[in-house]
Amino acid sequence: MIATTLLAMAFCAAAEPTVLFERTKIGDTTYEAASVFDVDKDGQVDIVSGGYWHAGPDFKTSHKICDVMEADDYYDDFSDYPMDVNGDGYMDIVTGGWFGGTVYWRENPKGQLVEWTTHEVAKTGNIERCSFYDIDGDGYVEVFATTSPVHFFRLVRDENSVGQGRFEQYTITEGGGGHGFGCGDLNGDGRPDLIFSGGWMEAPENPYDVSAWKWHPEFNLSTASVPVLVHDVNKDGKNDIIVGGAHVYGLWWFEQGDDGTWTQHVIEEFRSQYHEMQLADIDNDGELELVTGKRYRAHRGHDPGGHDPIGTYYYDISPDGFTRHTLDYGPAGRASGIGIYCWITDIDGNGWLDIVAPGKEGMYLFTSLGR
Amino acid sequence: MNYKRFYGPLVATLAITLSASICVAEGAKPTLDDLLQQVRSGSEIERSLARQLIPRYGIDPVHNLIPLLFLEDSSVSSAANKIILDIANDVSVPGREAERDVVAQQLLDALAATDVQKQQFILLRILPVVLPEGADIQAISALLYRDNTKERARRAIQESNTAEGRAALRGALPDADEAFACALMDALNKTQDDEATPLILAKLHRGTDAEKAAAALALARTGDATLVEPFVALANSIDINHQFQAEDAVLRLADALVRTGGKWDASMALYRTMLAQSVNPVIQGGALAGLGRFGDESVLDTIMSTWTNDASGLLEGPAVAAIEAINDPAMAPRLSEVYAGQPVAVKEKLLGIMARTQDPRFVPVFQSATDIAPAIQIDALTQYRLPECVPLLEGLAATSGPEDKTAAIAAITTMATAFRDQGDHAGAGRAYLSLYRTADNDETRNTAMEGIKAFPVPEAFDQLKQALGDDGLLELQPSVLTGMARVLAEAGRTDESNELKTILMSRANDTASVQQLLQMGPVSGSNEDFARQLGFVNQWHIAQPFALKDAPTDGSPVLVDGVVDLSVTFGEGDGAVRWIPTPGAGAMALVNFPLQDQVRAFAYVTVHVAEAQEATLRIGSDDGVRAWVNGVKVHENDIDRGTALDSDLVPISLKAGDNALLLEIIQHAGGWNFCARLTTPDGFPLQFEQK
Repeated sequence: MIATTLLAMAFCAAAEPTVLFERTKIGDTTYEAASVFDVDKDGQVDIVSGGYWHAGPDFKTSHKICDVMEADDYYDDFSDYPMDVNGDGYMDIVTGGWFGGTVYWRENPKGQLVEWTTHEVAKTGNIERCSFYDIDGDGYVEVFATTSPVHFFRLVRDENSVGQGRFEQYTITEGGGGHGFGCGDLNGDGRPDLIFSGGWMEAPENPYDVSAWKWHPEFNLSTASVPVLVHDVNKDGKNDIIVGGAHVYGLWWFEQGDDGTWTQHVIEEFRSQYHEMQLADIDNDGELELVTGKRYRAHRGHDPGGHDPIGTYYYDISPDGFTRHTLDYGPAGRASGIGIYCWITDIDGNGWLDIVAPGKEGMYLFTSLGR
Repeated sequence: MNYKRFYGPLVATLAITLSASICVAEGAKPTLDDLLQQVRSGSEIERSLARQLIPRYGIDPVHNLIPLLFLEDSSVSSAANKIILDIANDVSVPGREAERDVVAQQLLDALAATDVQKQQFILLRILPVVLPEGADIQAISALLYRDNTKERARRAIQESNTAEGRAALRGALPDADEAFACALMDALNKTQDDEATPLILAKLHRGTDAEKAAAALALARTGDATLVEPFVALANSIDINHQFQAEDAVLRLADALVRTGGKWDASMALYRTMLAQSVNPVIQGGALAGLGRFGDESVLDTIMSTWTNDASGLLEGPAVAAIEAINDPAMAPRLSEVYAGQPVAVKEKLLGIMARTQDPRFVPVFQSATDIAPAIQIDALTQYRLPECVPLLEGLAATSGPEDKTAAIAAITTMATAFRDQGDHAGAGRAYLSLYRTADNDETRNTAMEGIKAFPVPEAFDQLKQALGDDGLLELQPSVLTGMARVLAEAGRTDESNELKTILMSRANDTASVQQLLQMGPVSGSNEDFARQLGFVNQWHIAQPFALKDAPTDGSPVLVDGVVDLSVTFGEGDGAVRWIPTPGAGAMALVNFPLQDQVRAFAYVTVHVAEAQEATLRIGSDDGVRAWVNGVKVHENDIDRGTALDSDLVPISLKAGDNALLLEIIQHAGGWNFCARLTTPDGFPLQFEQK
């Protein structure tokens, strides 16, 4: 149940100076997903995006991974999540996309400069963007295809937790997947619940007992971001959710009240296509910030605001609301959005988180200079 | 006219040119030596010809031409200069690197060999065209250290922009005097030499004020955020003669912070700092421009406060331009909010900004702008050009003096035309209606009335009725009545719509009118009633299918001795064909047959009229058709086509009482159907009964 009180945020000058970033264009690709890991175990992290990986530390040399299916100006590559699927000590990637409707893993050829082998995990239907959450608390993420039906895949590991190159598939519900998917503890029982556009599923003690998940149809998030984020915004002890308009104007947080009530608060009213969002401590203040931005040409320019400027932002989160910090704002080419799956990590080891922002406008590395 | 005097020189010139051309054409190709000799001592025409021909010898002539550059005879040295430049340009393309290297080296050798300043300058002008990466430019860089040549050498190096050249510029910087150091830093900036940054930073921190300002300008392009504080401090502390440069450097740095990415907030803050810190309106204007160029709605307050606190008035233009430049969908609500609290003079400018956006979210602002002078409102509304502007203009026309009223009427006219041209028919119709109400002369009123007729809107019906009267309505063209009836129906004004349709029904004597009526649907009652009102026959007896191949064209087998007997069955068993009563469907009384190819069908009806009369049988058929009236064939058109209203018009004579109408619908392939109606010879639906 949603009580909608549209409390528009007033954005004045940021209370804290914005962290400075140096922006570098990486490669010439326009894939919308990326990740960062050491592909060839040379001690330097590399950037992986779609059909190429870019060798660190300068990321100026690109190596082909494989051909990726193209559809209009999309690629069938909505995640490049690192996972040592076959247990050979080299990180592979797990990917999938809308057009192929299939979860794949691509096998890292042990860092050698040859093309990678793609293995099919399962045909799942159109994937909004694969998501990765540790649903069973074993320290390893499971793969959520973010489709309808809602499937997740658990990598089979041996007694030493080494990947065995195959996944077990679990189907929680037949519908409700797609936009608005997220994961986090909403009821305070310490277990990761699943969030969907129309409500949330309460995690049972045994997440693999797919019949034990309990449905709470408490909100309607429409074509919301993937992911929806779970965070105690107002610090009242109950987790709230942060929701972007993936294909519409708007960025909101929904305050969890008592007895299944949710109050909507407006963070942004006039910016659109917040498809991708992550929480990270960008300013090293010990608190998480919301990192997001526009997914450029999320629907090939046909979404509301599809031709507005693009941007990359992080927001301070406090019980009083959200304060926007702008890294980039402007037309594509001069500015960068954030794509469908960005990656946040401290690449240069300076103690500040950096952001890899892929997208149809090109892939950019925002290297944090701190304050 | 003295033709001999006038044409004499021309004839002589032609003769020389011709002889030279002939010389070439006949195979007596001049040697390179001949051509070089012509450069040295030939006539202007010979020199000109030599200039065209020498580059065909490639780079070989260069070493011969270089000495000619230095001759006192300017016609010779100039020609040599141009020829070398032609050759240099020819070889400065991909694939001719080796030749380019040779030419460059010959020029560099010549430069190294001379101490004559004039000769050095000539060579320094040519060298940038051809100087390649990797060339040893010692001959040029040496000139950076001589007072009378250093500036020319710097320019040549900057223009050629090679790594060696940039290194030479860097090498000269530490010991350069103030003016030349500034020039060197400018060159290093223009050549985007990142390796020079430490040297320029040294000048920024330890140079003279002139050098600091030049260093700041040179470093700004880097977008290095660590420069923000020293740049701002420099702009604050530098002597007055160099303050503009230092402040300009701050603006350039702000610009670069955005362009290099990741520092948008820092850039906006820097523009704000310069607005607060600088007293120079050019710098302030530049800062406003930067906020507009890169900013979002969050910079609006800064721009507005700068503008409204500026006593000089110099910042109004830059502020307006900056607000207009901001690209952010949040600007409309923010600007509307800001507008309310502004003095009238500022509101007037803001109205203009809003108008030029043509964003409909500003409509409430225009609706409440009663404190703004009518002339300003009219001007802004004219630019805004949305349908919502028209009633506001009409209101202004009603309440303003003659001059403003004329302007308002002109604005409404402009908008009506614009909406018409954009295909916004409802907007155009309402604008013409508004124009009609505000018109102060017959010409405008007539224009408006024509517009109302062409682009009907429901609101215009009353105006039309009042202007034309009921009789006048009757005289309107069917298309006008149809359009008006349609929009009235869409607006829920059914009675008035039906009133117009009734008029149309009474006047529907052509295919187009009937077609429009069919599109609108019945005034009241069923489609079948409507079909009858329009003269359609819709109570047929149908017999089908009959084979088409080798079929007779005399109506047989159904027409025997001029008579159709509906009780007859054709054939036997399951394949027997009988006459089946079949109503026509819908307002067009269409009869559809089961799809099959190469067949024919017969349709029969008895039409009863009270008196003998001439009439027109109007048939639409898919495909061909034959027709008999009272047993006499009146029409035949065996054709491939689709059914359309009134495709064939057949004059017929009906006798008083019953008349037998027989149609044969010929089917070749595809769709198979027909419709038919009867009208008077002048096109009005015929009143008849069907049996």
